[in-house]
Amino acid sequence: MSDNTDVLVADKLVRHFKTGKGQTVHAVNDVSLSIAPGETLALVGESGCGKSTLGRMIMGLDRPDSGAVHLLGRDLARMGNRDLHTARRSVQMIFQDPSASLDPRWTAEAIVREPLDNFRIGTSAERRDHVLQLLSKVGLRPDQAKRYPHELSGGQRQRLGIARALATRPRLVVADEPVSALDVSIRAQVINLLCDLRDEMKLSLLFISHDIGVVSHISNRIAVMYLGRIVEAGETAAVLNAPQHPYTVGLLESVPRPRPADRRQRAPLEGDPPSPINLPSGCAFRTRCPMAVDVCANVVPPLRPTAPGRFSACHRADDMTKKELLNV
Amino acid sequence: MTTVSSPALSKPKPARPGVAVSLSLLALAVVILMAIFGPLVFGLGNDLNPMMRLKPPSAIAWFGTDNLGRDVFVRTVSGARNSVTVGLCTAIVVLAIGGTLGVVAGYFNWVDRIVMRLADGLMAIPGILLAIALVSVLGGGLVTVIIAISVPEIPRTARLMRSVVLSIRELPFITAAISVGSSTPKILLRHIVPNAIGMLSVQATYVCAAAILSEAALSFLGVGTPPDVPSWGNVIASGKEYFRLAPWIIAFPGLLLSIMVLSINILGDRLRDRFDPRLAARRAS
Repeated sequence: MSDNTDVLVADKLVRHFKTGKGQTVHAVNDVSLSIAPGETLALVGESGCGKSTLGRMIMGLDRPDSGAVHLLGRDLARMGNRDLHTARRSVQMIFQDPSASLDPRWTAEAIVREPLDNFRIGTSAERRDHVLQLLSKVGLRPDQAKRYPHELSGGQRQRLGIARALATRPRLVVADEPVSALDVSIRAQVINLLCDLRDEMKLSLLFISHDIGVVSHISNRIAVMYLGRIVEAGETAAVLNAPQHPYTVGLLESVPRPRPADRRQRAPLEGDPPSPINLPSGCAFRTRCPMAVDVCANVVPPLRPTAPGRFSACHRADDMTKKELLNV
Repeated sequence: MTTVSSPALSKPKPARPGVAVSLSLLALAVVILMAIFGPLVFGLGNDLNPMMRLKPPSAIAWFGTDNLGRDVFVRTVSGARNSVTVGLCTAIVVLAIGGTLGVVAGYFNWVDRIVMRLADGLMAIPGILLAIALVSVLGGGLVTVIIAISVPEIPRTARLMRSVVLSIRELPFITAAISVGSSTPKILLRHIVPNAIGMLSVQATYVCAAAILSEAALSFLGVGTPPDVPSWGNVIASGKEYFRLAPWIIAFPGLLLSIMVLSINILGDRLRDRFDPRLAARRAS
């Protein structure tokens, strides 16, 4: 699912962590994905499924145990520190908690200016203008430039974080749960801003979220992750309307609806995901799956194409279209 | 029409300092004035006067006289210079060396292993014994005393800074600084140190207070500054044999020493409250 023009191609990424007791946490297992220019890929899954670890590897903040991260055709995972510094200019990150990801002792202006100074973009005067432009682009007033993060509201802080991420004119932005720490009332505002800027600056976006409801507005494609693996991927509308993995169905069912009567009669997710230290045999989802059969316990289902641009890692993906099976 | 200012938007007023803090600041100011001007105005108080031995406090000698007829008031006031110098210099030396070691150890794991094992070793030795050993090797004098007091304090400060840096470096804004391409020295100097400086200045007050006490203890034991330069420690030491006859020799410098150390500690506590991250978060919200 990759071609040469893609901004990002992650190939068979694996990242395991050793715990103090000699156990292994399987954070990311054999994940491949690609993002085209201007495209938004949403990465969805419960907490602990490895989404953030994947994001860190794509940012070059963590190195995979095996596999490659091709950013604009060059492999981040095998770069020296100097090349990595250069490459960072084209991939930037928006963090989950805007209050924790902004240095409390720096003013808004200094925060947005930091990447410009680091990459020596423009002269000193140009940098100042650029900072003010960026601030106004994200809807902050010039008089707020001298403020400290704690003098801004939560939404303003996250917009400041967005301005910082866009300062170097990156090609790819990794947004790790950018709205989950915000009040519901300002989530839409921040997401709309992100969409506008993405279109204006022709950004590619990797939008990491645990909330499948939020991503429907912003993404072109969705990849659903469960316990370190991508279990389903495809165009947003196709995945949301006709999911081909029982986990995706479960996620969709857990989105609250304004009228409970509108709930589709399908099984919501129950229980917690198994520990990534002791993965179940076969399909990792089978312990919570309403459709599990014998083969699921023995064979790991590969992520295989089910339609053009559509992938599912379920032995029974073909049965998912038969509605009666879903009415558990 | 009057404008109504929203209370949420106006900056919070700094809380008024309490009585204890005001008194501490006053005491500190007096002692520092004594340290600067005492020896200039009164001299060192080394004039012997056998006719005036062990006289109680009077209009002539406010704090009484010691066994050699020296004026305890003059020696106490001038002795402040020694104590303040030792306190300040030790704090500066300890913060510069211990703080730097701690910051580097907190950020680089391989430095951490080396520095912390050395610190463990140094901390296992009782501070006052180490100081006595150093003084007997290097000989008495102000510089030796400062070195001798600094050495046992450095590992403690390094440990504290290390733990502060360990917690700061895991915060998302450090990850953010890495991802916007900041170099490691820049991250250390512009992000980590400014956020650790609060704890560092609190530690400075404790080191300063401890150093003044240690200097007094060393002088009391006879391994501190030479007796012709008065310090609170050696004034107290000179009075210890005549304690029952002339308690004022010990009482006045001892009282001043206690007030000074107490004041510095009160100010340190106050600083700690100001820099406490939880309190800061509460103020911010």
